[in-house]
Amino acid sequence: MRKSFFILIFLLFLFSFIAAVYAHSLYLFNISLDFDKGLKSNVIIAAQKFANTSKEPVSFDLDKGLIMAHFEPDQRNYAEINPLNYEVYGMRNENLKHQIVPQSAASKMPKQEGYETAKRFFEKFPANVKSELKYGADVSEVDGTYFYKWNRYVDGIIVADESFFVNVDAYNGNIIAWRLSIFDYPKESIKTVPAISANVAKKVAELSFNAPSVQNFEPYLIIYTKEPVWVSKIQGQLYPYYIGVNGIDGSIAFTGTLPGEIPDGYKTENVKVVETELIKQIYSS
Amino acid sequence: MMKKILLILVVALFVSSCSSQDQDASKAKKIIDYHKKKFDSLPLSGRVADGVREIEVKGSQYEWQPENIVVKKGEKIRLIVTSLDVPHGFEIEGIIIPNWNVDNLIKKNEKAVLEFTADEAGVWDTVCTGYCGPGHGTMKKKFIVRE
Repeated sequence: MRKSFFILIFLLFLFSFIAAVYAHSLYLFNISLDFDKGLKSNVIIAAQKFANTSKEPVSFDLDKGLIMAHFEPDQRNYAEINPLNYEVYGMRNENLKHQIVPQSAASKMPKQEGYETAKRFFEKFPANVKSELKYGADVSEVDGTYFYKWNRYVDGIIVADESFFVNVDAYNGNIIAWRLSIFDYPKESIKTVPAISANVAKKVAELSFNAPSVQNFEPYLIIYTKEPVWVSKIQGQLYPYYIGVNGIDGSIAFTGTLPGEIPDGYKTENVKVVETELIKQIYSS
Repeated sequence: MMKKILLILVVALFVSSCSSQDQDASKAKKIIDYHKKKFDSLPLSGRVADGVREIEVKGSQYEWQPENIVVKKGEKIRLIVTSLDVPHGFEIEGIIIPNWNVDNLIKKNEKAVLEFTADEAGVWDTVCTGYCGPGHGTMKKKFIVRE
């Protein structure tokens, strides 16, 4: 039962990852850095320094702007480097995970204890980064590791696919992995006040795709790239899917899957809508 | 008397809710029309020869030229994709181009010829599918098929 659960989780993860790969080209496997020797060399130096090794990485992947330098195959041991400043933005090292034999004898630590470890690690980051990240209360556990996640918010609105996570081993307390997203835009350049209402955005989604909204789904606001986007969900012929409607000009920002994980229960209520001159012109046309 | 007042209130609420929904739908239609017209005003890309619309697409760090590729529904399309600097990949997300593997890299001064028919009207994203540097993720433009 437990095994099939993990197989299911793995398949779901794989499916969503593959969907992301083909949907956005922001996640690419086995990339070559040979086109830029300086970039390659700096990525390798940063990764080796972090991992305290002189071993050459065996391969590189792209993970939404970050370059994963793998020291072992199968996502077991890698450092994630930001190619803009060659700083380490993440890592995973499965070698730090509990071993199979001690696991049976060892007792699992409470989730709160794992959280304290994750929180201490989070506190090491610069104040300007921490101030934009908010802890999401649900802690998931997969295969003996706890997963703690902070999402980026600007003016109370979640920023799509920008987050920080720490993965703590539930048996030995080691940090197995962590990752900080590159913040694509500073908060000063992000617009958070929509010019169209949730209900208008919902109608734009329904009319553009000639499909009804999914019942009981309340549109909510997210930041996508650097603008507010209303997320609606419509009932397609085969399955429901999400539509992002730009809150500034009403254009379609994305369709299909969400551009990042949104915490359960996320809502945006009492959103102030300020119609721009453009929107006023459109409405009066 | 009380019943009558309640009935009037319920009817008024219902009417006002319907009217608000109608207003939202009307506003939404205007927004959709605005964006449709915006795309309609763009000139068609490339030129048509022997029944095929041929468009030269140039990729460089971190842009595509032309930015927007505009074609008409039903047209046969030939994209001649070249790279001006480092290797780039090419994909129109959501459109499968026969005999083209999106993992293919187009090296500097190489040409890739992609042929397909624009079957469906709509707007798609054109993206680079080969890592080409820190700005790779921003290499995203539009492929527009008009009715």
